[in-house]
Amino acid sequence: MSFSTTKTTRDTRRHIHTMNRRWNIIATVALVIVAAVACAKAPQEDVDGAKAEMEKARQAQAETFAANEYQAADQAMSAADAEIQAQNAKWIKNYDKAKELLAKAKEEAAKAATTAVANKEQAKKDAEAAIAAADTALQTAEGNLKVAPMTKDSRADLALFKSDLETYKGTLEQARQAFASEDYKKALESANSVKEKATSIADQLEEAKKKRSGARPRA
Amino acid sequence: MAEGVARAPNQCAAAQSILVRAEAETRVQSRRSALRRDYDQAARLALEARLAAETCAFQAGAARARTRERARKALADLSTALPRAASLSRHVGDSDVAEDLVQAEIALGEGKVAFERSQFERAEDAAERGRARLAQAVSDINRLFDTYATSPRRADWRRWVKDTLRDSARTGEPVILVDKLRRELLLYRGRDELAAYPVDLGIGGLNSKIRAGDDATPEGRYRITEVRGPTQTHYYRALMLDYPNADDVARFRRLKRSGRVARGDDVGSLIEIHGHGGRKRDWTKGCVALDNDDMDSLVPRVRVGTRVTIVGTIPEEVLP
Repeated sequence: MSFSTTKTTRDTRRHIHTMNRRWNIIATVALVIVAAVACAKAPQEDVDGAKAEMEKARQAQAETFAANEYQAADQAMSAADAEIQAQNAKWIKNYDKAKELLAKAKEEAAKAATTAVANKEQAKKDAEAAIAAADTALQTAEGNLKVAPMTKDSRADLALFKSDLETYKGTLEQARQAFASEDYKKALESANSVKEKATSIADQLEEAKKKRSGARPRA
Repeated sequence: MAEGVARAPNQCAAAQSILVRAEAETRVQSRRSALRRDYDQAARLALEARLAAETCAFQAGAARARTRERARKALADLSTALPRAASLSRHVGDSDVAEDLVQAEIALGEGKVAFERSQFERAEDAAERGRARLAQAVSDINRLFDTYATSPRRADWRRWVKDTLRDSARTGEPVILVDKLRRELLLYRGRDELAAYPVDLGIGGLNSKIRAGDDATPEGRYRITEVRGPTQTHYYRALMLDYPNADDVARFRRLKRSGRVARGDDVGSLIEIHGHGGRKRDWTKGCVALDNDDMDSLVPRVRVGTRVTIVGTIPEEVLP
């Protein structure tokens, strides 16, 4: 009996010892995890990478030439900033979501930069073609004016057309200046407007000529 | 991929570069023993290459769509601008201008064919070539018009028209003015314009007649010497003019003396206003041709002795 009691006590002590050791290990591991999470640092490398891509997009004038893509990148960047701030305020920090948002911002910014380059090139070509077409339309209208039938009735109209064409020449010059300063949108709009109006004058003069040719003489 | 490389070079170069790295990594791993072999990195690179290639394809598609739209617009612009310029070129009859317009027309045709075959870069190039030739033609047309505005003969034209209109106002008789630049015959009585008719001129176009055979329409002050009906001329109806007048003969002699016309040359004759016109091109031997209906309208309003003044262009300040 005495032997049996001693054995039981020894087993109980061993068991308690084993249990304590397990708890110690668990506590240590938990402490390490908590310490690791609580001391997690903001993903600065990811932030820098995303910011660099955003800067590249800005350099490529993405705000103008790839507005939707740039807005998506900007929104992702703002969301990532907000998430980082939120995590910074917590005792236990987790930046996984912030990293995801930063990756998205980086990707969208890269897309915005690429799209902006392509769109800018397209806008440049469009503006260039519009200016050339406007110039030809203006010269054609001027030519029509120089050989327009001159009558008592038409004289005032022709003087007005002449004055209008002078104004359009000025507008076309402004379009050229806008093109030179890479404001392709303004250049395109001005050139298209000049082309449309000059063509309208050329058509009116041509129409007047046809009408005159078809008119029967007055008695 | 080849088409994409041309249209979206940056994206395609990136895809190509990553693919090369993926292939290199695959070779490195395949040389290792089975136990140490790990294709994870190669698989990752291959995936990246695929994504980059997809971006390249997307960008190439977008670039193609942009080129297509540019080509379509350029061809449409050229199509509408060409007839306007061609109509204007009618007033100068210059061979360089005509050549430019023909080349622009050819380029437009080539562009349209290329566009139908989905060769959009070629179509855009052709449209640009056509546009450049068209711009050259229009610029030359304006330059030629401007030479008329500053021509040394302008003083003579002004004086002749002024005298003719003054004479008409004094006598009450109708007079004919021919404006070669505008390709127009005007019938005036005093300060009133009675009628205006489009005309075709000599093949020499805007040149002033100097000698027989130069196919140019003369410039000067003439009178109708004879009115011919349908059975008396090959050209429906005709108003014969007194070309060469004393001024023409004197000028011809001067030019002959100075050696500017050959000794065997003649001053020419048989300049008339006749029918069979309305062709919208210069085709006569120096005469002024009207549409037959217009001849029917004009002939009863004039008679032998009616003054006919032909000028390069009527200075606008002279007209009432």
